[in-house]
Amino acid sequence: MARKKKPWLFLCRCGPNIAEAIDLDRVASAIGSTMEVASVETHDILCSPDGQQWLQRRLRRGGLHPVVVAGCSPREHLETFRGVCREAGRNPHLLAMANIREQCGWVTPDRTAATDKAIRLVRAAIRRATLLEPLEEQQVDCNPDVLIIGSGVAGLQAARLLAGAGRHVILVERSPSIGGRGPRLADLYPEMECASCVLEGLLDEVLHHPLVEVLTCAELTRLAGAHGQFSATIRRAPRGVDEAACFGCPQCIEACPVSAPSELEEGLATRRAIYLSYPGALPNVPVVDRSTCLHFRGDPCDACARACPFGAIDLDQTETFVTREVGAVLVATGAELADLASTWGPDLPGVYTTMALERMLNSSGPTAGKVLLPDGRRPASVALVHCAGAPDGTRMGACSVVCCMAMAKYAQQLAQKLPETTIHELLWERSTPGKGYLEFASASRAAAHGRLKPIRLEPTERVSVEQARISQGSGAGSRRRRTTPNLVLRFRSGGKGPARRPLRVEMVVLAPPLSPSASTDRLAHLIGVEVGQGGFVLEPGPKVAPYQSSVDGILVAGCATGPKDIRAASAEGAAAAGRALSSLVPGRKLELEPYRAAIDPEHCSGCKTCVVVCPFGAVRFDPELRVAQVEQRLCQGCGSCAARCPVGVATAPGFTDGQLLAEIAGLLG
Amino acid sequence: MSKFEPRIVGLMCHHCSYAGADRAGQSKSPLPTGFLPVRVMCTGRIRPEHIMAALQQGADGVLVLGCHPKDCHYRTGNLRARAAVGLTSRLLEGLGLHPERVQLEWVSAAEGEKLARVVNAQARKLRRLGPFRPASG
Amino acid sequence: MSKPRIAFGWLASCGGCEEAVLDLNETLLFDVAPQVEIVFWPVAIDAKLHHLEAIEPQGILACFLNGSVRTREMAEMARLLRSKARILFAFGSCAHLGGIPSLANTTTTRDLLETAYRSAPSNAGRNKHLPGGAGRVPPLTAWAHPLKDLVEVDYFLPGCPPPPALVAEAFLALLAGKLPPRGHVFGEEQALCSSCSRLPKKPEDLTIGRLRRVYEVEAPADECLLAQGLLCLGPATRGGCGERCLKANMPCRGCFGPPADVADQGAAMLTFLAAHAPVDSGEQAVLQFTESLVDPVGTCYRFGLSPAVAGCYRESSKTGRTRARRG
Repeated sequence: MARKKKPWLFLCRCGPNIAEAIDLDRVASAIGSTMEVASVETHDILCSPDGQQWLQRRLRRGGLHPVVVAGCSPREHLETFRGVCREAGRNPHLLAMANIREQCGWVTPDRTAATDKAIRLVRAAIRRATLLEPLEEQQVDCNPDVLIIGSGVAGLQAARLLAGAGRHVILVERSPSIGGRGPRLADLYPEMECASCVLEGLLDEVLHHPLVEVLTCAELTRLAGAHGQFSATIRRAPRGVDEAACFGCPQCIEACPVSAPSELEEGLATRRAIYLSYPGALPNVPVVDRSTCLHFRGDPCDACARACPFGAIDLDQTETFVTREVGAVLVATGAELADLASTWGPDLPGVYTTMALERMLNSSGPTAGKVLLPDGRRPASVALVHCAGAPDGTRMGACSVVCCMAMAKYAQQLAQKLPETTIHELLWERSTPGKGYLEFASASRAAAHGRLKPIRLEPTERVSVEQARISQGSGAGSRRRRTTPNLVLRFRSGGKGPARRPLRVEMVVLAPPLSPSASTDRLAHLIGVEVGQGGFVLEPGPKVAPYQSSVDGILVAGCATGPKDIRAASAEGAAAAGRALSSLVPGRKLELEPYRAAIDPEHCSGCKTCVVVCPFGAVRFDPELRVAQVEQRLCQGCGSCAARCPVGVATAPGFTDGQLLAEIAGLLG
Repeated sequence: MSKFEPRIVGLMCHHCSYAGADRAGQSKSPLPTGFLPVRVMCTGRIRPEHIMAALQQGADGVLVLGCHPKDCHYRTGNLRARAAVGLTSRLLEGLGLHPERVQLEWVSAAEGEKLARVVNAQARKLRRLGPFRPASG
Repeated sequence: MSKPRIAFGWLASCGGCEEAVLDLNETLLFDVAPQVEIVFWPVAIDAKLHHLEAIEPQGILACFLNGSVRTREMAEMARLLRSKARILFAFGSCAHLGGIPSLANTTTTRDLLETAYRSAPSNAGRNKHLPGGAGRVPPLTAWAHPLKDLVEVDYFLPGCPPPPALVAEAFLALLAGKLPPRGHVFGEEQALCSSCSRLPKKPEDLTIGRLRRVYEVEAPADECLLAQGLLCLGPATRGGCGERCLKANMPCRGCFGPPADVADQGAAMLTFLAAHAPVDSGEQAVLQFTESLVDPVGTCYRFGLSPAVAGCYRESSKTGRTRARRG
């Protein structure tokens, strides 16, 4: 082993900043007399252009002497002096700094005490520097491609823009069809354009773009690495249908003997065990639901497979795993309507959520655009209940942003489609910010021509719904009444006077709050992004970086961070794409972390402790060799592996145990 | 009789507490003269041996200062430091070390004032406890 | 040509290491015993101290000495055997590392004796007095020591007790004249995980909410015990024991001492345990995890709390003195 060279020590006076606080001459002579340095020189302002030139000339003397600069904080100028080393043709990592300014001279009023402390700090830096090794600086191409999780409007917008700029996009969607909630809506406020028409172009462009790889029935199972070089493992659940072979005819669906309630039709219609999520869903390929399909419940049924003219049904399909390398990840997992069963009671006939009403209003929905009760009649009266989030119908305290506008829209649409129906609108507050939103809401109400009866509830009022007792009677009229769902809205005043009189209606529409989609929590946990209020993904800098999660390289957009409407989600998707385009530029090199760890395979015991502890998934266990290995591209230089290795075979260059212990000894000796 | 100035080895992470200590310096907040800083990239780098070596070589106390939970630049390093320091101080207490000599605190880059407060408080504690002079083996 | 002479000695020990020699079974009977002349073995043959003293210096080929040094008499015996033997083996954990008797180093000998003979509950009535006096019980040394603290040791046979296969390896190497370089510790260089049959199934995301006691868990016979929350010290323990405990579905307790080039086994244990702290569940969960290590000193230094470690942290204000109870 080469004999260690003694360091060259440079003391910086930092103008008067250090010189006044510390007797640098005494430091120089104290250190010089330890014989642990090859030279000691002092300069007035090392970081100045003159100072850097002066230093560079001295460093050009060559040799592998490590350099110690005693001056300001390494957080200020370590990079500066590294640059000087590079200019002088020396390895920039044979350099240590002693912070005798911020953490010595400036915090120690007594000059003698400050000088004593400075001597310790410098000696510690010298002991450490003596053990430094030259570290290789390596550059790699950063990966400009992006993984997008979630194919709602935000994800689609980002995919389109990224692919348009030539980036490869991997679009991972948990469900069998892309598009999120948007395409299932009827008309979009305030323009009142048909949702599928507005979104069709976007969906189509993304689905068929050559640079976009759409993976449906898919979810992320592992993410290793860091910004610029992630490695993602994605699990694809078996669809039961070969997407490449399927031509989208409905033969298999029609042949299926099973009937089940359709989730995406909000229970308003049924579907088969092999089904397309909703009319017009993309990709136009059905999916087999194993929980209802007879084939997976002990029955040898293969009606769909026999009916398919293209042999596209494959009931033996198994899950597959794929790995993709990307530079950034976009979390666009959206939100979903909260389940109201626990707060509003079991499903009562005639009580619908806003989404169910959207499906009814949708011309290709289960009722072909008509608003009907379960028995097929038009309701004579409808109650629209805002803020149906909490028990007893009080506001939860968290606004879901979209419902007030949606209710204004429904007021307009119901007034149009049901010219004889009374519409009661129950609300505590109205919230319609946005360009043209207030005008829209006012106009909608005016369009209802007096059949709209708003009920402004007091803050302490509570609402609940129940089925009315059906009155006894005889004759056809009473028979009809017995089959009519009759609902009663009951009010509780919360102590402020008598309760409002109950309101009897035939249909109730509840606006549930938006909560984070079911997969968000698991995903956030998996990839290490923080969630905040309500379980939505946190944006640490919502004003200046609304697209940024708590993890560098992982972006966020859309309802994943909180409820918002399509316009805002679309804008956020574009923002995230912009960020990815500016931070991952093809051809721009990524510096590999010079402090990347190394594991000695000769002495590794294979205990996997380092694999467990690496926050970036950068350590892999080789099952054949039974040792661990660091993936150099992914290592971020935190030193966790070196810290936790029980046998000390993982090294953290630049901060080895030997260097740290030498520094500690230098401080205390 | 000269006043006992405890020697405290401060293990600080580059991104949070070390920056906080710089901040204290920029505000010229006086720190105990015996506070001896060591910079690591992440407190998760700290091993029991580092703490033990400091105590064996003359430190009267050890302060591990890291990022607040959830703020660690390397995600989980600070909480592992909490585990390592917690286990180590329990071991050392079992061997006779006064429990207040080894401490861990969270200090962010903006908390220069907190850093000064924490270090000064630890120094006061150690002045009361006296120097760490163990029986030798 | 006369047979080489060997000797066995015991200091502060439990007798398990003597059993370990017997456990060589046929190897002892047919391969070892006929080749040697056993000149000293207190448990098995009738040689007296004066027989040992009469042997010329270095007159014994090898001495296998087990037990830690706990009394002055043991220190003398260790020096005596060292002078008489050309090769000295530290046999078993106590001689290698200090062993369980060295857990006494957590306290002073004065406290030890006070507790054992005076303040601990007993039915001795008024007859509570400390042992001592010349010619009665040898005085305790200030600390319990591994052998190498007192004499130069040539080879170390780790284990509590060393497994028969390892002992056989040492004997046969000795008799064949093929011993490794002096200072060698028998066994593997790497930690136990390296040869553990359960390693392939050790998860790569192993988190422990709290450490569990053996009686709390019904551990599968082929899965990593750490993954069950059991305190298996395999990652910080030298391998080569044949996983005897693991084969009985019990977690490793670290009796082979640290792997090669690891100075402090206790520190190694704590550092790898920190890797399994439940960091994703927040600070409180991490603290609860650290609290679940019930006896850090007893766990980390069960097989050897050397005076070097024990003395480093014992503050004078903390050496509690038990009060002598009268009557």
